Amino acid sequence: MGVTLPQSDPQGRPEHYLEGFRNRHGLEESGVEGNVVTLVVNPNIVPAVLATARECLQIMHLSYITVVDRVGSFELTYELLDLRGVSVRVKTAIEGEEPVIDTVTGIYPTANWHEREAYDMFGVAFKGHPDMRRVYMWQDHFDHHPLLKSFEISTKRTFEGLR
Amino acid sequence: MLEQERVAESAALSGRATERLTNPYLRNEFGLETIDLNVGPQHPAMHGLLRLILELDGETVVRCDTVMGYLHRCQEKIAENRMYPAVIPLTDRLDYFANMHMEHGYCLAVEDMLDVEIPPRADAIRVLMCELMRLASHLPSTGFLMLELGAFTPILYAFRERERIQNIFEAVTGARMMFHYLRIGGVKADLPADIPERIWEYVESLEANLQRDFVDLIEGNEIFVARTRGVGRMSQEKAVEIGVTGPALRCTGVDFDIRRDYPYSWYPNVEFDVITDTGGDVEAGYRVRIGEIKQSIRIVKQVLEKLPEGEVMGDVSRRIRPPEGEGFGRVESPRGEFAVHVVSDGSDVPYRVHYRDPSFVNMQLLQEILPGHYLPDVIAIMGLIDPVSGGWDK
Amino acid sequence: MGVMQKFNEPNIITTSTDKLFNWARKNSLWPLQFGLACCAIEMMSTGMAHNDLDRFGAGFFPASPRQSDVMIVSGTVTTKMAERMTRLYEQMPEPKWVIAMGACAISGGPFLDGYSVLMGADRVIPVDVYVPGCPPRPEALIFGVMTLQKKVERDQQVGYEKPRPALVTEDGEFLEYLPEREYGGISEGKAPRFENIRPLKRTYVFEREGMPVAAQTDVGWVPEKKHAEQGGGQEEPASPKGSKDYSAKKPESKDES
Repeated sequence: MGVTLPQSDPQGRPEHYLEGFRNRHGLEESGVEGNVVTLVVNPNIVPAVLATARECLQIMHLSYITVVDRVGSFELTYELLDLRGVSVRVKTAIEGEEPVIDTVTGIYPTANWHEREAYDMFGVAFKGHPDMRRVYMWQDHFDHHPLLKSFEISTKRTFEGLR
Repeated sequence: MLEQERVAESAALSGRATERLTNPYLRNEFGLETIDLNVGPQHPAMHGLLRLILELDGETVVRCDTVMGYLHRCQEKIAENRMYPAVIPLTDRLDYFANMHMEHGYCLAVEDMLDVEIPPRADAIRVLMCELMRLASHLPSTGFLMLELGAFTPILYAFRERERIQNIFEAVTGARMMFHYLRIGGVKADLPADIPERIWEYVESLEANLQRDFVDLIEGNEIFVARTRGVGRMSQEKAVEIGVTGPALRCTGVDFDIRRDYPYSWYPNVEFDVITDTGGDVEAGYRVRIGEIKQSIRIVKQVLEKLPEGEVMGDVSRRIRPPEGEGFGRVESPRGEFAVHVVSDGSDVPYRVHYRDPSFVNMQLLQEILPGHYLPDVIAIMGLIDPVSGGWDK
Repeated sequence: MGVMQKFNEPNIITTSTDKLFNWARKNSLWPLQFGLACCAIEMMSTGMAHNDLDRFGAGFFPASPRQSDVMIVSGTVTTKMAERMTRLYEQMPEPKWVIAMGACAISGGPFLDGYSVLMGADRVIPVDVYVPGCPPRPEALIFGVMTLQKKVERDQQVGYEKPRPALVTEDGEFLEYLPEREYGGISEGKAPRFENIRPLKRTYVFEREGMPVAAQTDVGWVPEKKHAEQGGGQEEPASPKGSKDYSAKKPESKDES
């Protein structure tokens, strides 16, 4: 039993993927640039979009989940690689201070630790995650989410104090 | 309920001790009381500060929980306070065994945003340095695997080779370990005049000695085979599901290599094979790494033969201020796929830098694969995954 | 060590044994295997064949703190790791020393402004030798080990308050002893059984009055209680403030001569 990968030549595959996504879901924006397919979607349909990617389009690898804190909303980027040259970027924006989104661990099990890291650093809650706890910071008595813009580290004060 | 759970778990197990967990007669004879063993953050396994909370049934691991964060150095947050070129020394300290690859990934991401053209000589030098770094990383990795299995000689030979490579790096970049050599737009300075000759001689000697110093000592050794064949065996689907990349994925048979499939820098101009093995166990991982060492030597020779002339720094202003947008870079580090996502808001400092480190993702393997193995196999499997704690903890 | 403490002041016997003990100790400093981060690679490199640390006697790196003399803190100390590092330090038997290797262990290094980075290992444990560099070259680490050897040579068993390495708090104050620490109800990871483990009760030597820090593992010697009639300066028992004793011992004789 092995994993079959698509053929090596990425000709036509980005457009094929874009078609596949457009046919099944309502996307806010979408486009192809070189070998990269970019989609902007509503946070509610992210698990559905990723399920399409995994099952219908055979895109096997979730590379990472990035969270960017635009003060007032959170922008998530899921990068998927079909392992032969084409990558798909799914972007979402969640409004508000306390972001909640459904988990994709059922579709891409590798997202387990990526979502834990997103929770630890930003406080993004993933509904349905099997093991939601912090991964870098200590578990008790640390109620902050370090990478938020409201959590400041004192670079200037640190270096001034040293001189 | 407990029994059913255990049987269901053991159906997916791959270790050699599954008989103990599936055979009801063996279990009932010794009882099913488990010990919780804390393999604490400081332990002699050499791969960094990792805490494993293992639930052991005798010597068999039943469940494993990984606790990380003992080296969390806030790299992503600090990078938001440093200017773009000043983040490069921080990336050096991410995966400190493969510094050049980390710098390369970050530089690719920022150059993606700036849309600058990198001169071919700079690209070729980058590839040369990265492949030398791959040599300097795979050799000690094999050495650490052997050290944890109990053999002391291979690591001495590995570090002897690493010292020689570090001397070459010192002649080129000025530092033994934290190079800060790759800059945004190219490379910091050109190679000195005698370096290509020196690298050529070194690589030829390594090729000649690899068989005698390393492979002959390790490959046919009974103890090595007994301790690594069949240990940590994973199927291709499981490996791809967990998101494993790098030698740990290629040792199951999936040939995915970012240098060939998502080509970057000067790699389209060199020929190399992607080494895979069908075992999926620790021994296969070792063979993949030795194969990659030979391929790296091949790439280094090709680059030295075809090294183009020209400048080493592109047309980049001294003040790096990318337009608003995002940049993505992806490289094949010795441990797997290293990706960088940089978000900029038009100022001197990045708005957000996100590193996707291969060690972080490959560590998920431990929770899936360890149940069913004996306690000493845990250490051998760390040699298969080969994580570096600067990587998983950022 | 009960024999040594019978002498209240250094004399020819103690200086000779000092020489012997210090020679033995400095030539076989066994470092604890405590590589944290990138400096650990250079520490390993120093232990390997090219820059051999074994020729200084420091080649064997035991993994257990109970068998080591020196703790080479190599790498960044994070807050999460600081607790464990202190625990390891406390588990090392006397005499023990600490080398802070690398910029991160000295002062936080390039990660100075990180939220989870300790600004130097000497915030929680006393450090003897600081080796700068990022990472320090193997030659620099060897120089650090040799400096520690020179420091060990100056040790005295009796009549001399061992200058304790500095322990600096966040406000810049110097503390003499390790501060008391409490373990909260720490539990990380999923295993529920760890929740209810009570922390070990630790006793520091300064809870028992009148005992010098160096005798932490040996209860053997208790200071004699003299009468209050004897004037200050003469034959006072060697208390923890032994040096004051020694200098105050012969003011008359110094004045006379």
